[in-house]
Amino acid sequence: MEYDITIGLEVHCELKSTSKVFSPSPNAYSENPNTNISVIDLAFPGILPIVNKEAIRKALTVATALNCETPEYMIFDRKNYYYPDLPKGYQITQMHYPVGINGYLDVYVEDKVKRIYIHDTHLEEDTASLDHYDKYSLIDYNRCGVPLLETVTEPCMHSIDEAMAFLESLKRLFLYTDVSDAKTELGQIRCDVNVSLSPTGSKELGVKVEMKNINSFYNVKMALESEIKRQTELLNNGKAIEMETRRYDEATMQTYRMRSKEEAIDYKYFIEPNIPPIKLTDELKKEVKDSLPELAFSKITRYINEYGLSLVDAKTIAKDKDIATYYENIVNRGKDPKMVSNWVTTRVLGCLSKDEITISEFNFTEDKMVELLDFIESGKISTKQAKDIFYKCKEENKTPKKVVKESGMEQITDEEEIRKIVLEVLEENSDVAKDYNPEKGRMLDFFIGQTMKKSRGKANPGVATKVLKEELLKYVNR
Amino acid sequence: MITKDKLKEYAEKLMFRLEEEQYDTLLKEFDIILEQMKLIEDIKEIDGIEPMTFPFELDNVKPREDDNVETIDTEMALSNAKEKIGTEVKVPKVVE
Amino acid sequence: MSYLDLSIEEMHEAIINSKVTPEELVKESLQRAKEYQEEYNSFVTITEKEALDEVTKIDNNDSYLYGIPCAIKDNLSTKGILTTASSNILKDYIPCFDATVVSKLKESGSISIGKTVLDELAMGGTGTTGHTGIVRNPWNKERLIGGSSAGSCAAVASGIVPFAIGSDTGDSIRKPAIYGGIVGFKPTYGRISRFGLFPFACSLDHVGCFARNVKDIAYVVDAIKGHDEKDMTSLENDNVKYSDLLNGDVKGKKVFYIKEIIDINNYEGEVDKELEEVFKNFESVKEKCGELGMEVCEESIDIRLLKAIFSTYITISCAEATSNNSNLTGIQFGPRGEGKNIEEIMFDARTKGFSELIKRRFVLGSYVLQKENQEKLFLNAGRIRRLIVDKFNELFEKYDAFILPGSSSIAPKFQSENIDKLSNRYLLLENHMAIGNFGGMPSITIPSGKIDNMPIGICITGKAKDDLNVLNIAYALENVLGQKGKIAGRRINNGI
Repeated sequence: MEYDITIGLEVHCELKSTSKVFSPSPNAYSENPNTNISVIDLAFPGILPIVNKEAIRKALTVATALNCETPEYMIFDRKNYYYPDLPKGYQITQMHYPVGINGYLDVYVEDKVKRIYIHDTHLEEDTASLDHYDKYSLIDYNRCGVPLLETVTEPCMHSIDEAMAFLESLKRLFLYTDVSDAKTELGQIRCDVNVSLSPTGSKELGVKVEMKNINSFYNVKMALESEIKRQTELLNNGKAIEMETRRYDEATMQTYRMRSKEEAIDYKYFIEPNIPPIKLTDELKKEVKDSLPELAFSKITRYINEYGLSLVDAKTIAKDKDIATYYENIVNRGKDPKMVSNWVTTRVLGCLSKDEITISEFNFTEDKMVELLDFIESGKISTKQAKDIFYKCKEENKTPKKVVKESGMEQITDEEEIRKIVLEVLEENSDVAKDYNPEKGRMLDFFIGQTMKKSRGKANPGVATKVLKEELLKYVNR
Repeated sequence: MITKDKLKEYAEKLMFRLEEEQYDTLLKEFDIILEQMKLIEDIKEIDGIEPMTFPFELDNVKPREDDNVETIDTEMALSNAKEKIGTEVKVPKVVE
Repeated sequence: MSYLDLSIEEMHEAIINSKVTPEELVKESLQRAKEYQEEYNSFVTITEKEALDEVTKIDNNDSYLYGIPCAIKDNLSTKGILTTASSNILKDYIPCFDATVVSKLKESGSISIGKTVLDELAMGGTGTTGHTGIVRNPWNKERLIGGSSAGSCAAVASGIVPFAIGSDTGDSIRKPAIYGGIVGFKPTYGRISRFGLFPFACSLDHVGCFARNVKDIAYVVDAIKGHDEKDMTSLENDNVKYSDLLNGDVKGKKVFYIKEIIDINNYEGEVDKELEEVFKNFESVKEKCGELGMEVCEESIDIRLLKAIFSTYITISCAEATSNNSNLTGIQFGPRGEGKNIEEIMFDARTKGFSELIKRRFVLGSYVLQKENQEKLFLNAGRIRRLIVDKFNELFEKYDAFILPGSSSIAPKFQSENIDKLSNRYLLLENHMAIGNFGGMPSITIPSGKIDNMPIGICITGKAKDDLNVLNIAYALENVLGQKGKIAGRRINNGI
């Protein structure tokens, strides 16, 4: 039997800031346990949360970028549960009035545009981390209170590809808006995944199974594959799916039950009384909106429509905001978009990946690229020469001008200068020249070769050919 | 209907236990409390009223500027923890 | 006569005129604390060493509190000094930071001589549930002092210190102040920072103080109030000194009382001699108000709302308390529980650490927050809270304050039968002071008379942020009620 898959995602992202979301201790990773902590993080009796302005701003930025409705006031809730990584015994989060609701994000799934609906995005705090050993666990409170933004989609994705495309796009959004470093390998993005299956064509959603705390996009994919397979087999065997929470085990690539619906925790949410409503002024909302950068989806669409790039190239360039900026700055200086695209997607990205550096660390700057392209456009160097110059510039950290000058690579394009060389060549090869026949191309090739040799390769072949043809005719007619 | 078993379940979720006879006291107390709660239910004209969390509205609530950091000394912070290894708090192995 | 029996103002004069030194005052205060401890049990910890050390270091003699001894409720965080909230679950907890109010007291040059007993975790009104035993009323050892700020009240009432810090969630400063015959004040919510106050119910908790006269209260509040960046609910500075502005001029002020609460017909079958005396005393207070040039009016309020005050209070406070005390698991502080796994050690710590009463309140708090009950109980309580506060704020458009008797009786005996928790006497007369917590209103109790040589008093409550007005009315009234400045069991310093 065929089934429709329905997927919903909850994505937790650690936000960048100087201090934590409700305390003044540093929001920074440390190898040394319990060094980035305050009395607030340890939940000593009598502590009170004090909300970080930057965390609010970043949360509002994402809400705005996700096209969400934003509330008049920032209001927080308590989510109550007992766990050793949660020293207060409750997490401060946003349940009643999230910073963003009813939004959407358009993403490319292959070459189709898919709109992913956002239920809400809300600001909360991260928990402590537990280090597990054979016989005991150790608590490091450094991560406690790191600002977390949780983005919850509607159950609106119907394939693993859609889910993966959304995750990649959301990560790109975090990077574009500079709210997070979004490094999954450092646990800065973690996902909860909901999936349900229903018979194809059925209007009702199937029973939802949730998989908690998956730490990489790859594992989201594997967990979905495994869970969809498990549910399909159950349904095919006439068995019911149970509403439950499962966890994905990386080692076995299987999902395992954590708790059933009956065991679900009642979090007893209520409004956090220690944080009075903080007004999100229209000025702040406007300022955040005005300072949003153009996002990847819009860039990809524009590159295709305005610049005539292929989807693949457009995606490749828009994948990284800084690369897109590099690309656009060069195009905006009058260079051909497709030509720039070729240079960026092949040479530039090739170097970055080989050297494992970012575009900001790359020494072949926009200025150098413009210089190089100028040389090509003016015909002073060939495309093949340009490639050599590019690598030489990179290796020796020099400008194209300097490399061209030093290696004497610059072409001679001046007609009269070339004419002098051509006349010398004809004098030296007068025997051949007098037999010149325009019908016989090989003779012309011989002279072009001689001219190039005499000019040590610097003569512009086009100009040299034109001048040779003129002078050879004159020579014969003489 | 509140039963002793329900009360036990509530207590367990709050991570503590009471003595058997204390549950009896609690059950009796609940009778009175639920009577008192009826005094809340007696007031019907509460439709459309936003539940009050803060004693009054504060204008000009300012979040904290994110411009500097403060930490406390690790040793001092952990001085009240009974079991430690190195600079971390030790607990029995937590199984997820 | 001892300088320690004087008012803060007089003590201050004596200090700057070198008639007495801070050290002498502190030593005598410590002496009394130790002497009375066995009898009244005001303190969890008497900080003799720290106080004697601190008194050699102070130099802020511009401050009225310079060199003045005080006591601090043991639910306010004190760096390096045991702070237990009178609960076994914190019986060995030594904080690594000072509450803002504690820092401010230190800055003022006041010397704390100890941490006072409270009802466990401030959740109680009798002063009998602290882990170090019951607190007795200095006016009569057979009677309770009330709570939760029991030890702070007893310490001031018995003359150990001229002032003490307490906290008030429903009436935890004001009710004991009534029973102890002293002044108890909780200012507007946010006037004094709550940073470092162990929370009972954050949206109702106030830091406040006890003293033996209203002017002394003003001196104390002047020293400890102010905006605090560590408390987002703290108010902007009002940039005034209450002690400078008290003048007793209340001519033309309008106050009201609530008909339903002082109508003896609402207490059918519940009236005894004490209640009659309480009402009689209240009549005389009304007269005195008139004599001072105040207009006293009767206002009627829907009795259903008034009767729902207690349920509303208990619902909101227990709900918040259950959550607020979820950090008490014996992991990062407090006695570690025993057990094989993490759940067991948390269970054990909490099972051993909380008394039965506390557990019952937590179960109730959790019950009203549960998904299936939250709308009907917790949220409806929040709605009633708003109805009540709106009603009083509406009345404050016409009035400066309202006055009511602070209790229906003198301090009860320890073994007395429990009052019927569904009676009007309980619901109307014993619990109305929570109105001030619902709306964060400044509220003060002052002694207004005696029954069988035990104090009774009245409560004056005003509009939020109108602290000065409330203090001034109390200041004017105490001068004509004849109960000012009394120390239990003695007739010292009657009038300044």
